[in-house]
Amino acid sequence: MAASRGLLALALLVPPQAPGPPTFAVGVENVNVDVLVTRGGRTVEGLIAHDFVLTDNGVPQQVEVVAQSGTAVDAVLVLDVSSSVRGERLSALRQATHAFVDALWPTDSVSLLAFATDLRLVARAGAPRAEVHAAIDRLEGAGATTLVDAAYAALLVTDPRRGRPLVVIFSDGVDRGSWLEPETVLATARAEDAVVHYVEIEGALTFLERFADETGGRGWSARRWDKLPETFVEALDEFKSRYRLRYEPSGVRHEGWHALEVRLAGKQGKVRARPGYVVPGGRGAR
Amino acid sequence: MRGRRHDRIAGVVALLVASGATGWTASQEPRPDDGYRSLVARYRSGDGGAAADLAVAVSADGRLPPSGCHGGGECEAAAVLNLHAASLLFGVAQRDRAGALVEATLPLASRQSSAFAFDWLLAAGSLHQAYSDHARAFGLYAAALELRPGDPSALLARATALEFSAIPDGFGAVVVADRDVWRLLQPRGEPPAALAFKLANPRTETPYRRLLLEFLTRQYRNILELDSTRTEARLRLGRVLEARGHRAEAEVELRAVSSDRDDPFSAAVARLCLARRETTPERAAQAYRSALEVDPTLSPAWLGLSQSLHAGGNREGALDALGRALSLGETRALTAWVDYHQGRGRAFPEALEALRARLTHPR
Repeated sequence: MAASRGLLALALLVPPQAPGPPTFAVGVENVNVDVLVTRGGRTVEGLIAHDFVLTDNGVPQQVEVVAQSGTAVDAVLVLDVSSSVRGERLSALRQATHAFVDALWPTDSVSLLAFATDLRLVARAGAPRAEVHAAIDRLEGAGATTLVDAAYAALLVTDPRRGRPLVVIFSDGVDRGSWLEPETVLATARAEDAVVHYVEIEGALTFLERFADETGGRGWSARRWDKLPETFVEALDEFKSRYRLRYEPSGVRHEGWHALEVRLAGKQGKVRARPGYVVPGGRGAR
Repeated sequence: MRGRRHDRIAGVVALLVASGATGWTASQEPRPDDGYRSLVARYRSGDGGAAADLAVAVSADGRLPPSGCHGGGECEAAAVLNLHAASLLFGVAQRDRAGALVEATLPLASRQSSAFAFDWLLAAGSLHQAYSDHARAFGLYAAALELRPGDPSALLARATALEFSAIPDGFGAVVVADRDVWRLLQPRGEPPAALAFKLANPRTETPYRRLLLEFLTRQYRNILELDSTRTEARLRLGRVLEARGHRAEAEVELRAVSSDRDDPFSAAVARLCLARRETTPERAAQAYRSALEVDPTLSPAWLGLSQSLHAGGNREGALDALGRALSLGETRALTAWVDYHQGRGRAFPEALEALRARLTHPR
């Protein structure tokens, strides 16, 4: 999806930063939608544009499939380093983050946003991987859990000019100390491009469930701290296996809420995509 | 007189011990010990390292130190030393041992002079609140109010402890002194039979939540009648009124605080609260800017400004404001904000220093 930024305004007009994602021939406002297709729990590959039916506010749209492989990812890892994440837990989180960064392609970009009482962008997109790894090793656990504030910040830190925006949030606790209200952050998610995955250890986190749902992402339960590294990598791999559909909206009003529905035409499979997006300025926000 | 007072405090102490859900060890009547007494002597002479040594000793073998004493100021020094050591244990995440140390010291502290016991109880309460144990802090403040009924500081402390002990924090926060709390909220009513369950689920227990907010409104108003300069009470009153849906009354209180030049932190927070009430992104952004005029290091205001600008379609501006928030780090204003937001006491270090000063310069 691309509402405020992905395509509706800027991404197309600004040259990608080097090393950047592939350039696309687009001229007017476009919308991107990341779509996961599974059958029997496995990802379905090899689908083409004609295999998808996409409606925007009930109006069928003509979609193209952006190359599934070779498209760079712009990942933002959001890490809970509050006081509950210390000692062996912090070691496990560091290992998982290293594993995630190692699993990225050279053309992918990654930012690290650590949150406790405050929010810290400890590694910026474009930083050499060695610097990113060093930043991971410097992470320390202390302070409150400002999860909702961090979720908001992550959305804005992503940049589709660098690649397909992905936010992966890890938290082991409940928000304690954020200023922003969950509803306003969910509204921001509807106007941003990123797909949000979250990783937790035990028990669903209500806010994160809703947050991920709004973006077509999902939750990943590691269950045990020592399983964090493989869970982080699974979340990344799943994202990379998604189709990126693109269309130029037609027959629908520009501003406001756009309900999306994506299904397969004549093929079996389960489709996961975001339920819609908002173009700010209209009255259609949910 | 002292006997009656001690009986009442002893009742509160017994309640705290009996209600302990954290597995803290109950205190036993201690006996003096030479090693411990030499630590107390060092502490009385101003050697703060004695507290660290005590914390290490408690931490190493898990036993509580004996807190017996022979009077002449030694008992007060022992009570302060134990509290200081407890704070160090809290600081290294040894909550159970820290809590046990405070608990074991309660009978000793409450046997000292009324003035000392009052200050010690407030300090111990603020220590618990600093680590978000509002329920135990509530009990300690209630004990302090037994000594000085109507004291504005103790009333404010008890009200905030109650306000936050009852707010579910995701970890099952429970009001510990359930029947006492109920009688406080509704003096004429009989507590319902299933009280403990209902108080443990305040989110779903609307009547309890309503009673609590009504009580807090009365309490904060009462404190302001006793001392109109209590800005924190006015700020909390504004937020409680807001939570009750009394928007016009809330605005009066918040606006009063927002222009308080003597307390810039509270003024900035009041402006934050006013910003959240705005119904358009443009007006909210304006209100957040107003909070930042008072304190540009208050990162929640930058986040609020960023979100308002984003909601108004100004992503560029939203990114700039977010960048300011990210560049600030953990400022004093942010720490103060989080403490305020979670009802955590900020008073412990000052309270401990006042108690220590009293040891070397007795009143």
